[in-house]
Amino acid sequence: MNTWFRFFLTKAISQRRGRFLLSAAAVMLSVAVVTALATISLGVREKIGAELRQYGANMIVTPGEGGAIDAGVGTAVRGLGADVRDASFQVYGTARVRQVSVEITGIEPDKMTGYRVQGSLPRSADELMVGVNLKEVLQVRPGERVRFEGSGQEYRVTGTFEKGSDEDGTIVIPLAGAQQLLGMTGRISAVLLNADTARLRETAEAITRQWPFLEVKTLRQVAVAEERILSRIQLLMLIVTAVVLFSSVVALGSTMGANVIERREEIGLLKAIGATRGDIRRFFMSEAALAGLAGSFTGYAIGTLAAETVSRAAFGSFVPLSILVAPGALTLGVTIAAAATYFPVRDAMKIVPAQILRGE
Amino acid sequence: MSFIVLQNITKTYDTAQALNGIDCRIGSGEWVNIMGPSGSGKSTLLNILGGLDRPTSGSVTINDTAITGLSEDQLARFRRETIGFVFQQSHLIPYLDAAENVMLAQYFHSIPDRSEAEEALRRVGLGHRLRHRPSQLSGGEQQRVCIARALINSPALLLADEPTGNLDRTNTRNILELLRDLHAQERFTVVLVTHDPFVSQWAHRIIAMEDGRIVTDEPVRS
Repeated sequence: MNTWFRFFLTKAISQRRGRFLLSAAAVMLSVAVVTALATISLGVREKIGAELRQYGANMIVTPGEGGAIDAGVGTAVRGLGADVRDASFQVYGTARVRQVSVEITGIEPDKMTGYRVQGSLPRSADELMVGVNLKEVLQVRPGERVRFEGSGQEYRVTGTFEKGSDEDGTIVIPLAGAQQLLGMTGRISAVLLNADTARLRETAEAITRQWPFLEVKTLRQVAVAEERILSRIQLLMLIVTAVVLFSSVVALGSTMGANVIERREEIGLLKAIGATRGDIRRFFMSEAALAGLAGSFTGYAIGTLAAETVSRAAFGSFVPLSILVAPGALTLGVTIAAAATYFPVRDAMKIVPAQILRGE
Repeated sequence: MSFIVLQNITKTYDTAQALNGIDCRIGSGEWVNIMGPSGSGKSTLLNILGGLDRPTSGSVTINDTAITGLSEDQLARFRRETIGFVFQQSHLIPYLDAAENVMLAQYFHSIPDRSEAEEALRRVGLGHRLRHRPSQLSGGEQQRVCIARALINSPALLLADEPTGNLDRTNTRNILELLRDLHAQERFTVVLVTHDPFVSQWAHRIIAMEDGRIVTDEPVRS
């Protein structure tokens, strides 16, 4: 951009500051909305994924033929890669207590989520909680101690729980305590994985390839529900973005169009004193690009702020910023400003200068 | 050798015939005024001469260049190299001051030079109005800026469409005297459209038009 071009461009913009700011504001609005929606949309997959993970795994790895998995293999499965978002170890078995045979589930204490507990969660290896359906059968209350037949081990009842599933008829014990009770120290019954829903099949294949003796089942219901919710949210975002973008482009187009129409006389004069169509287009498009840039920068800042505010309100934490959004927003702002200017300028340049200069 | 050659120029707007078979030759350095009542086609002819409008048929040759065959951008380049315009309305860029308006014509021609632009304005008597915007200038002063702008690139041809049409008699005389002096110094060709008999007398030659035709073409007796 040479000095004189910049000089005349700056003069034109500073004289028509109001129009310039109006154009930049129109760009800013579209870019802000698109930035906010794109940031939330890209971040929401992770956020909602995290929310849904609280409700359980979408893949279960078992030893296949009734045996147990070595805890070392379980740890290796858990550390498989980025596709595995979360994993927990569980042991299953049966034991007799108060002359009743009960199913035992051993869970890592920090993975005990989704339980409605009366009392408290068991945290140490000699504590347990009883499913609501067993409460009456076993006649236990929080604080009591129960002794298992056979092994003679004693555990303190910390509470009773309800999960709304078959698990309500079981006893839940922290993993180490359950392994001890069931004679499975150093071994586990299953690894529950929460894997990237878009790559479930690949993850399952990777596990069976590496450990052929393991059996992998995807919990389709959970996975499909998670994917369905995410897809719907993203579709909604896409529709809102499209509507907002369309309205903004129309508004911007009329602002830019009015700007060009107001300056038809100037266009005619520039042609008369020797400006080519390219010269004139360069002036107008540069002005539009600058309005687009100014609007894009402020729009990106406002959009990001809005996305973070919404995320904070909805998820209680900030949404991660994507490196794709900033250049995308910039390109979008400049493109819509340029497109909204290009067509009115092209039409204005079809007019014969003699007609414009005569005031027709 | 003629500087301008017009051959059988016609111009039709929808059903109206604005020009009807104009043939004319103008020599280099001549000052020709085109006169005629409103609607006689004189402004249309001037616009065609300047490449601001195209004839329906016929050819226009200026300084050996057949401008009727040029593309729009070629015409623009030809205008900035060869022609200066002065219109009835001043058509100045409102956000540029007097010097900057002149410099804008330099920008499209070559490189703006503020000192040259200011000198051009001093020559038209506006040395004290260099930094004034069009809205701060009188009608006569605005036309002087237009003359300075039209002549800043030393064009071979000055086309003026009713340049004094909006001015009172005193300002009209001032502008014409200015044009006469500049013409005498620089010997560019002038084609000036007017309907004012007072203005027409300042030319070397008067072409009178009626209904899109040339009815008389006579030298002015001094």
